[in-house]
Amino acid sequence: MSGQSLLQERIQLFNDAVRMKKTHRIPQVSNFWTWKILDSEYKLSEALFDYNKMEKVMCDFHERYQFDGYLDLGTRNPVKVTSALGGNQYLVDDEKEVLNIHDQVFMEAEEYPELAQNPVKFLWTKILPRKYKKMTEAGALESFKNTTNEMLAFAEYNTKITKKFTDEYQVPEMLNIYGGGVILHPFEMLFNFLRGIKGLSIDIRKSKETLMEAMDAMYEMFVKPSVLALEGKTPETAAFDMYSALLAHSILSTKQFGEIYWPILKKVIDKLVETNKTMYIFSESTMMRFCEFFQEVPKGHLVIHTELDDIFELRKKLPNVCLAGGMPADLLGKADVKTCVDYAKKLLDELGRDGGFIFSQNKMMSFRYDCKRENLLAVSDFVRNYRL
Amino acid sequence: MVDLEALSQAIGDLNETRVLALLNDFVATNPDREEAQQVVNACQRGMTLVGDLYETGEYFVGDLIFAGELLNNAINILKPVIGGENNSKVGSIVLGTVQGDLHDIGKNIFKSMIEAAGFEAYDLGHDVTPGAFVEMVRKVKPQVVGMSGVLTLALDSMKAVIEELVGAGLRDSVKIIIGGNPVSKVACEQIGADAFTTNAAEGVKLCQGWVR
Repeated sequence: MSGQSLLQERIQLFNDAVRMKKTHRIPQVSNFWTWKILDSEYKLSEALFDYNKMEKVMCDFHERYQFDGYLDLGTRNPVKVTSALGGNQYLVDDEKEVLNIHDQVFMEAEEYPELAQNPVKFLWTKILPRKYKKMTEAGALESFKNTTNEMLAFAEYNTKITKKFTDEYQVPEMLNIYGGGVILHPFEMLFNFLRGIKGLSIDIRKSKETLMEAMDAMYEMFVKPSVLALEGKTPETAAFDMYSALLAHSILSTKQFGEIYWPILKKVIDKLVETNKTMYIFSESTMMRFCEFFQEVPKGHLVIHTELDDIFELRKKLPNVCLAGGMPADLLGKADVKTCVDYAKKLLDELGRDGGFIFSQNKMMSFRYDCKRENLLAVSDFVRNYRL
Repeated sequence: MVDLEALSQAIGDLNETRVLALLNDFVATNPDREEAQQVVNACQRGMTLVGDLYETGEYFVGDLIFAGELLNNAINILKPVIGGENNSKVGSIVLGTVQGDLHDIGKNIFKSMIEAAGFEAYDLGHDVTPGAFVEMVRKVKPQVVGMSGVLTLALDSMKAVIEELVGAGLRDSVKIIIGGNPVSKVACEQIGADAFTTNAAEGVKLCQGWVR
């Protein structure tokens, strides 16, 4: 690795990992979310509503633990933007140290045809006024202006923190914002933002045809442009070309996944393969049930970050896919340093020896007792210095 | 009289159209309470079929949510002919999503299935404080306490509930089951619960084992 900058070294490590090549050390990605605020001098609301404080949280966190990549740079929860428009989906509780999000149900099953006909128009005219009450009240224009300013401030923070991490800390971006970027499967959009868990579960049984038509229209409008952008060049500061998060698959049976979820995801993966690009899939819940689908993906294009699977068993089932995760929150939060480091060594030895592994935490680390600082310091130090 | 086996199978198949048609036809015959109770029992057997199909992997979480809705609709149709209080409960359970956690889908799925299995469920909702659990246990004296959560912080909240039950001298009077994303064998032991599950159908069977 001589002659390389640390940024180049890190990008090379991630690229070798996803391509299933052996690496001299295992790269580690931070799956820390609001825990890093609780590990700082600030309360949740102080950091979430002040970009200068959030920047300090991020910088202190990196200087303390020195991960090779970050799933969150303090940009996941744009509470100032949604608050400006009267959205109340974020519930920040400093006393309980919790950031909760309500299940979001803003459309009815009967509205799928309208969504399918023109997704953008439907979102602007139906969903946004329901979600953001200020859009329908007196002074809506002023609220919209304030929201635009908040959006710009959020974008400015996003650009600033990303640049600081790539330039100063030599930490790559997790995705190519000018190429594939972040994609969200239409079923995820319906699950997370429009129909909620219960509504969507019922729709699968009662409105499947119109649901599928709406998903096709949403794919064309919101996903396909990112897929086509994969034909562009990968910038020198990004570890992966595309990033996606899976949560809604957790309500589907294997058969339903094959009918409802996989066809669109396969289109994305086919394009990744065709353009020889890579994607980091952050998967909540389990993926083991869906291995048969991912087994057909050519080696070297996907990372799957798993939450609840036995990662050692998943490795056996998916020898063609780079795995991320593995370090249990149970141990980081409750066990002693030695137990944590011993388990980290087992992960590196068993999953990293032949390549195709990125070390990370299994859960989205969000609450105070998810992790002890001394455990994280010892584990991140060990992983950074361990040579296979 | 409705074909009870066909009704159970229609619920097991999650065939809403058939279930509602069978029940509406049945109610239109102005049945007596004994007949109505047989129909309720057939619906419960249908939910057992749903649980069995969940365990084989044929059904998953979304199907359980749909099954819960289907059962609610079925019971609503039957309400006029069931009459008042149903005294044939096999046991009782106090349920809730613990403090700090707003996720109640899993708890609601479990509630549908445990009610279908003949339990009286006292649902405290979500973000439930330890004190509210203790108060309800003291009031209704259930055989089982069920605590649910999705966030990892739920484990600490579950532990706090058990500590309060111990403090109130009520721990030994109930069996405690914990469920949801973060629960595990290790967590169950640390918390001091009697059982854990991430599978609603399995949770129902555990509770049934305790009240036999």
